[in-house]
Amino acid sequence: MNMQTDPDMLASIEGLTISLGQTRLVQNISFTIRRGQCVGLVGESGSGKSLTSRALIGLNEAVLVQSARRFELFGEDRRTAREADWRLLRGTRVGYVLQDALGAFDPLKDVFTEVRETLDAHRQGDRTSRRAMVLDALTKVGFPEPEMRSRQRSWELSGGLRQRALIASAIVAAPDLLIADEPTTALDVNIQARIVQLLAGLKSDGMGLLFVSHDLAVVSSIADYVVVMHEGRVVEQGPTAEVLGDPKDDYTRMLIAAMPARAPRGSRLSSVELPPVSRFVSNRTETSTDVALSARDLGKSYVYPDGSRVRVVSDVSFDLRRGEILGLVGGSGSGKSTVVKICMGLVDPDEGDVALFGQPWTRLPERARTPLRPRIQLISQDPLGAFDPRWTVRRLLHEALEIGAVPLRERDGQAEQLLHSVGLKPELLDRLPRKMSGGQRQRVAIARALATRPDVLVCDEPVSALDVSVQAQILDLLSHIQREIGLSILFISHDLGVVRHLCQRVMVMQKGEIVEQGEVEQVFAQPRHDYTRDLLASIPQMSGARADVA
Amino acid sequence: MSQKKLLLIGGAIWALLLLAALWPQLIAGYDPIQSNPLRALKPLGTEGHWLGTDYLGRDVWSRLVHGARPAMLMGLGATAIALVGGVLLGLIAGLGGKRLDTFLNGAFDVLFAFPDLLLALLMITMLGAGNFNALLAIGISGIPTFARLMRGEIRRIRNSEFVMSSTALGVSRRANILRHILPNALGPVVVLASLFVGRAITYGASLSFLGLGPARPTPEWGLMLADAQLYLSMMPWLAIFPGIAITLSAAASVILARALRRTAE
Repeated sequence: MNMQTDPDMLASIEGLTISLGQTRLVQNISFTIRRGQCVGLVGESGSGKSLTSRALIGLNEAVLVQSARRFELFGEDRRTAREADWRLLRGTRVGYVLQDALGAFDPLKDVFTEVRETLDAHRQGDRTSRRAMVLDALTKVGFPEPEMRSRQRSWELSGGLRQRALIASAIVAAPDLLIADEPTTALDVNIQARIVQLLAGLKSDGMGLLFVSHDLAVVSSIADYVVVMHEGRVVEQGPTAEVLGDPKDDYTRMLIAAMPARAPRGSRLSSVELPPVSRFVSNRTETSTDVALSARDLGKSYVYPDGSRVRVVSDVSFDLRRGEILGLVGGSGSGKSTVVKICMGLVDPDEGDVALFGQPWTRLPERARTPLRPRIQLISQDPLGAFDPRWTVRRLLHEALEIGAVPLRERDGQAEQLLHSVGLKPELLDRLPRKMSGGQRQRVAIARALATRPDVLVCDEPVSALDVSVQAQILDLLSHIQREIGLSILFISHDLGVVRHLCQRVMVMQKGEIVEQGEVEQVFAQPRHDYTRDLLASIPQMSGARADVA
Repeated sequence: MSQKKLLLIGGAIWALLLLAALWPQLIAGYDPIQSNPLRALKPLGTEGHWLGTDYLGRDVWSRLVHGARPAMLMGLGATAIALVGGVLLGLIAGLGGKRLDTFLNGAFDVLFAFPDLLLALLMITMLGAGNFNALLAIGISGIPTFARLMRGEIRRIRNSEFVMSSTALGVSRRANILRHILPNALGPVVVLASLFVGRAITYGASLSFLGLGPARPTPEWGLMLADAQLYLSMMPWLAIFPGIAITLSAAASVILARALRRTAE
C-alpha cells in the first residue's frame, strides 16, 4: 500500500512480534490507526501494551528483537528503520506522552524551554515563530496564562497542568499521530476527565491517537477501536461498542466484571476462593460504645522553612461505627493522607482529637499509645515501602504476631494460617517482598495487619497501585474479612467506583475539609456539594457497554 | 577488566598484606632492623637482596614485608576509631532532639570543612608524634565523615514509610531502632569504612613521612620513603617500592569497598 491509495492511514501494523531472547513479550499484534481515529490499547501490567506503543516510535531497547509482516507508518515500511530515521519522525510526525510527567521533564528547565525543545531539535521556524508555536500549543492544551506560567518548572505545577504541558510538548510540532501511554493514570478523576476531553479534541482535529491504558472505562470514553491485550497476545479487538457491549473473550469479560463501578454494590468482583479468617477475630470484649473511631474538629497545619503556614486539615469530624466501612474520597492534596496519619497516631493534630472506642487516642503520649496500637492497623498504598527491605515475609509476620502477643513457638503456625486466610501459599514465607507481585504484597500487608487481631483497619488507597483484576481480588478479600470478623474499616480512595462498591457511608474531602458526608447511595444519587458533583460527573462511563448496574 | 577479575586481584593483594602483617618471617628472609653497613646501598638484583638494600644495609624486601603490619594496624585501627565514634555521634544526632542535632550537625560541618589530613596534623601537634598518636589522630579526624553519613541515613530511614508502618503496627521505639533503623542505616556506613581503610593507610604513611608517626628504625613505608629522598637520583627504587606498596594497598581497599557496595545494593 502506498501514500496515494490511502493518505489517511497513519499506521498499519500486521503480525508485530517483540521478543527478548527466546521469550516472546508481544506476539502477533495487528491493528491500524487512521487520521482522526483513536485506538485504545488495553491490558494489565506485563501485557505488552507499552512495548507495542513504544515500537511505533522506535523507542524499544536494542536487546528486544522486533519483527512484523507489515510495519508501516505514514505509508512507509519502517521495519528496517534505524535510530536516525526514527529521530526524524519523533516529535514532528509522531508525538509521545508518558504517564509520569514529572519524570519526563528536566527539573532544571522551565516548561517553555521543555516544550520548545521539540522545535529546537527539528530546527523548525526561527526564534519568534517558535515562541508563537509554543504558546499556541500551550493554549491549545488549556494551559492557563501560558506567557507567564510557562516560566515555571515542571515540579512547581500540579499534576494536571504538568500533564497538559507534556501533551503540549508532544503536539507542538503538529504530529499526525499521538501515542499516549497511560496519560491519565496518575491523575485525579476530575482532572483525568479534562485530559481525556483535551485528547478527544485533538482527535476531532484530525490527529490519530493510540491510547494505552489499563483502565477500560477511560479507554471506552475516547477510543473508536479497542485492542485488549493479555500476556503479550491480543485476546480481542474490534470497535469499542462491540468489544465492550458483547465481549467474546473470557479475559475481556473478567476485566469488565472486575470494575467495581459497574458491579452491583457489595457483590463479588472476582472468582477467587476466600478462606476462613475467623481465627483472627479480635478477642477484646467491649460494648461500651458503638463508635470505633471518633474524630472531632481535627486541624493540622504545616510550617514551611520560609515560615509560611499551610492548613492541610481543618474542622474534620466523623465517626467510624463498629463494623462499618466508611469511605473517604478526595483528590490529591485534599488532606486525606494527613487524616490517615492523625487517625493512626503518627502525626499529632494541632486541634481536636481522635478517640478509639471512646478512649483517648491521639492525645496520649507515645508510651501510652504503643500498647493500644494493635487495635488499629494500617494498610497503605505501597506495601513495598511499608516493609523493611531486608526482611522476609516470615520475619514481617513474626514481628506482627509478637505485637499481637502470640508466643514464639506458635508464630510459625499462625504465620502460615495468616497467609492462608489472605489466599497465599506458605511457600512465600521465605520470600522477600520485593520479589513478589503487587497483589501478593498487598495480601501480605493485609495478613500482617490481621496478625495483631485489630478492631479497626485504616486502608489508605490500598488498591490504587494494582491492576483491575488484582484490585478486584483484594477488594473481595477486604470485604470478606470485614464480614467474617466484624472489623471497622476507614477506607481512603480517590476512586469513587471502589468506594461506592465497598462502603456503606462516604465522606468527600476537598482542600482539607469534609464537604459532604452521608450514605453512599444518597451521596452518589443526590450530591449536594459542587465538588462531589464534579467528581461524580468525571467518572469515566463505559460507553457502549451493557448497563447491568443494579 | 571484568569486575570479577578486579575483585580477585584486590582480594589477592589483601591476602598477601594480611599474611605479611601476621607472619612476616614467612616471606622475608632478613631482620628488617639489624643494620649491616658493609652491605649498604646494594643495587637491584643483588644475590640474596633482589630489591637491593638501603643506606644501612637492610634488605628492602624484608623491610617492605615488615612494613605491612604498621600499615594494616593503621588502616584497620584508625577506621575502627572513626567508625565507632562516627556511628555513635551520628546515632545521637539522628535520634536525639532537634537542638542536639542542630548542635552536633553544626560541629560536623565545621570539622568537615577542614581536610582530614589537616585535622590529623592538628591533632598530632596536640598529642605529640608517635605511632599510637598518629593512629588516634587519623581515626578521630575521620569521625565527622562517618557521623554525617550515619546521621543522614538514620534520618532518612527514621522518616521512611516502613518505620512509620512498624510504629503503626505497635513496635516500640527501641525495637524500631534496633531492628529496623540501625541495620538499614549501617549498610552505607560499612561501605564507607572499607573505603576509609585505604585512606587511613595513605594518611598514616604521610604522617610518618613527615616524621610524626613511628620513630626510626621501625620498618614503615612512609619512613622508608623519607629515607629514600637522599638517594632519589642514584637509587630511585628505594622510593618506588614503598610507594607501590602504599598505592597497592589503598587500591585494593577501594576495590573491595566497591564490591561490598554492590552486594549491599
